[in-house]
Formats: sequence, C-alpha cells, structure tokens
Amino acid sequence: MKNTILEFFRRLNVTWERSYEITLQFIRGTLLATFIAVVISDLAECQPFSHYWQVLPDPGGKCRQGYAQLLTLATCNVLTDLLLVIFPIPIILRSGLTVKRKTELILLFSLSLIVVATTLYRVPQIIKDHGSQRSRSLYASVELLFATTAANALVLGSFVRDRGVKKMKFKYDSIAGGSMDRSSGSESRRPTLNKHWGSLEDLARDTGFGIGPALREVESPSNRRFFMPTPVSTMPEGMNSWRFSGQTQPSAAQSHDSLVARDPTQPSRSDSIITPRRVTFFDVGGLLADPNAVRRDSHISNSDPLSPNSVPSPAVPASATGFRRGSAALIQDISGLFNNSLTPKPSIPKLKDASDPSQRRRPSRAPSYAPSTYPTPAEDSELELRDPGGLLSED
Amino acid sequence: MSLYSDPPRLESFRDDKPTLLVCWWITIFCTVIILLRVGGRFVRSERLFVEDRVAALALIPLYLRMGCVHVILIYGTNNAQLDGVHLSEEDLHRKAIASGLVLFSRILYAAT
Repeated sequence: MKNTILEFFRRLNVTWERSYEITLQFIRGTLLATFIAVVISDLAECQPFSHYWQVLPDPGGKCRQGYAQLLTLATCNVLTDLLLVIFPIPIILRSGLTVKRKTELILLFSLSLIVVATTLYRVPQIIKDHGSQRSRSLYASVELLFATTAANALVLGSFVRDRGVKKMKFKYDSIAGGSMDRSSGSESRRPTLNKHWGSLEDLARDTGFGIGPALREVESPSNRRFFMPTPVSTMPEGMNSWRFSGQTQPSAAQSHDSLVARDPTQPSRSDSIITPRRVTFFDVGGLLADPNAVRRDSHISNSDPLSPNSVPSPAVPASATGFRRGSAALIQDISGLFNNSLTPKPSIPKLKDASDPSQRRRPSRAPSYAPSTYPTPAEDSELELRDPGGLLSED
Repeated sequence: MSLYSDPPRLESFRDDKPTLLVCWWITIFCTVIILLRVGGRFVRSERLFVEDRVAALALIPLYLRMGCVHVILIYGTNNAQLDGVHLSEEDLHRKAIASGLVLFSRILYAAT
C-alpha cells in the first residue's frame, strides 16, 4: 500500500530535482527495512521456533502473543505513514497552486494519519485484550481498510474530479479540424466541449467503447428501414440517390476509411450517433410533414451552398472519414457552429427553390459531411456548418 | 516481563464469528477500492502505471492473509487459557496449525 503511494510520488518527480529522488530512495529503503524488521520480530520472538505452535504446555507469553511483532509493526507503520504524509508537503507548498488546492491536497495526503491513529489505538486495545486473536484480526482488518482507502483516495479523487492522466483523445489536427474556421479559438470552444463531455454517451465513447456489434447491427438496419420509406413515399429520386450513396459508393471508393466504416465490428461510435440524428431529421421533414419542420428544412436547403450541386453521393464516404474521427471532431464542429451563429451571417445565396422536396432533402444530409474531407473555402464551411447547429439549437 | 500477560480465556468459534465476518467485509471493501482504482485508471488512460500494478499486487497478500485469518479464527490459537479445558487431539492439532498460520498472516499483513 505504501509502496503504491510512493510510486505515485515517483511518477510525480519526472522533472524534479535530485534531492527529491534521494528522499524517495530513502523512503523506499525505510519501507523495505521496516518490512524486514517486522518479519524478523515475527519469527525471532520465540526462541525455540517450534514453540510458536506448541499448545498444551503453555509456551509462555512470548510465543503466544507475539507482542514484539505487534509493537514493531505498529512503530514502523506509524513512522512510515508519517514519512509519507510529511514528504509531499514541502512539494505542495512550493508548487504554484492556490491555497485552497494546497490544503485540499495536503488533506488528501493526510488521510494516512487516520491509519496512524488506528494503529495507535489498536495496540493498547490488543494488549488490554491479552492479545486475543479476535481483536487482533479485527483491528488489523480495520487498519487495512483505512490504509487502502488512504492509498487509493488520491487516484479515485482524481477520477471523480475528472482530472489526472487521461488517454490521448482524438486528433485535433484532423482534416475536419483544419477545414474548420478556427478563428473562434479554443478558449471559447472549451465550455461547449465540457458541456458535452458530461453525457454518458461521451463517456462511453471516450473510453473507447462502442456499442456492441450485435447491437449496432440491429440498430442500423432498423434505421435504414426507418428512413428509406421517406424517399419512397415522397419522391423515388431521392431514394435512388441515397441508395447509390449508401451501397455502391463505398465499395467503389478506394479510400480505406469508407471500407472500415462499413465494417460492423469496428467500434466507431460516432456512426451510430450520427445515424439516428439523421433519421429523426428525415422523419421530421418528410413523414410527419410538420409545417414547422418543413420550414426549417427549407431554410437549411436555402442556406446550403451545396444544394445546387446536388451530389450527395461523393459526399457520403466523406462523412465516414470525417465523423469517425470521433466525438472531438463532432463537438468541435458543433461548437464552431454555435460560435459562428453569433457572428453576423453572410449573405445566404438563394440558390434553390425550397418548394421542391427532393432537392430539399438531399442537401440536408450532405452538409454535415462536406466539411470533413473536402477542404472547402472558409465561407462555404461556415455556411454548411451552421445548418446542423441551427437544428441543434432548435431542439 | 510485564508486557506479556495471561492468555485470554478460551473462546469458541461462535464468539469469533462476527469478527470473521467483519474481516471478510473489509477485505471485500479493499478489493473494491483497489479494483476501482485500477479499473478506473485503465479506462481513463488505457495503461497502468507502476503504482497501479503495485496496488493490484497488494490484493494477493490481502487475500492470502484473509485466508489465514479465516482458518485462524475458526481453529483458534494457542493464545488461550487451556487449563482445565479438555481438548481433543484434533483440536490441539488445529490450534497448532492456526498458531503457525498466525506467523504467516502477520508477515502477509506487513506485506500488504
């Protein structure tokens, strides 16, 4: 247990001075020495060794009660615990943290003092109890519990506060990130990121877990079934184009990413995240024919510069590459959208007639992908990015 | 020597039962704490530091000790008042074993 704390200190000291290292070595040596001392006191107290388990002729208190070991252990425990408490204090005091944080840290390290207190309490208790094995085991266990808690409180606390060493998240210098307008700066983006981080989905995604392949396979066909009828009911054109993009395009594409995206076992959580959003979007636009939604839809198609092109098929594999890069890219996109929406909107080209549903629908799918792989001009990406953002804010 | 006293009176296992239970509970708590720590670290950073390995290794003496304590508490040790109490040969043997295990468990305790 103490070694655990010690190793934690050792990890802290990467760039620190030499005296730190020496002290560490000293404490480690002390720990080893105390352990050896305890073992010796345990085994050497009773001189004829076999008397340790001699029952009937009372072998005498030395062999029965093992007080030497108890006292040695208690002394050493108190000593080393105090060492471990005192050792980090100067480091904390010298560090450039706030006073509140410093006291917090010192209190955390001082948890070992509870162990010391337990030890100091249990020794007289056990002696008063004539060294009965019952109380001995009990107090030893209690002490163990405290020691474990103290040793792990630091790390567990860091988990709770969401700090400490994390694994490398997703690459920020991705194409999506590069094509994005970064003028907003990471400072203004951070709140959004934090806000999104809290959700369970993000937690799961950041730990590298996706939903199980079985789950995903169940989900995606249902999704497809879900939004395929929409184009069928309203316009077969759109469906054809969608099909083309979904089925034949990835196989034709040479890009490795699109192939990977179709692999159901690949734990790309973002795919499954995006899909439902798309589905609900389609649903709102097409099936329900809610006037509100239609208006929103048309607004989007209006603001979308890609709609005149109406080439969703090449854009679809791009989606795979862009969004599989993970939650970071997605969140960045979204946060960028929020930021952009604050800035005055550039003139939106009224390129398409909003009354045509077929043209309305396809571009709505396209915009979210386009920025990721095709480094469009800044204005373009801004425009495209605003669409999902508007959707989200209205939700 | 004044430090050493008379042995406590002999107690049956029945009296030791709550102690045993508490010991097991504490052991399980410790296990949970350690596993939380190691698991949480692995989930967050996807690699374990030396300290985590040490913490995980501490589980081994923890459980070995608990096994010893279990046997000790069931069998009883030689640290008891045995005068005037008739013990069977098997009981004596058990107490001998448990007394030997006490040594081992103390070492393991120091290692934990």
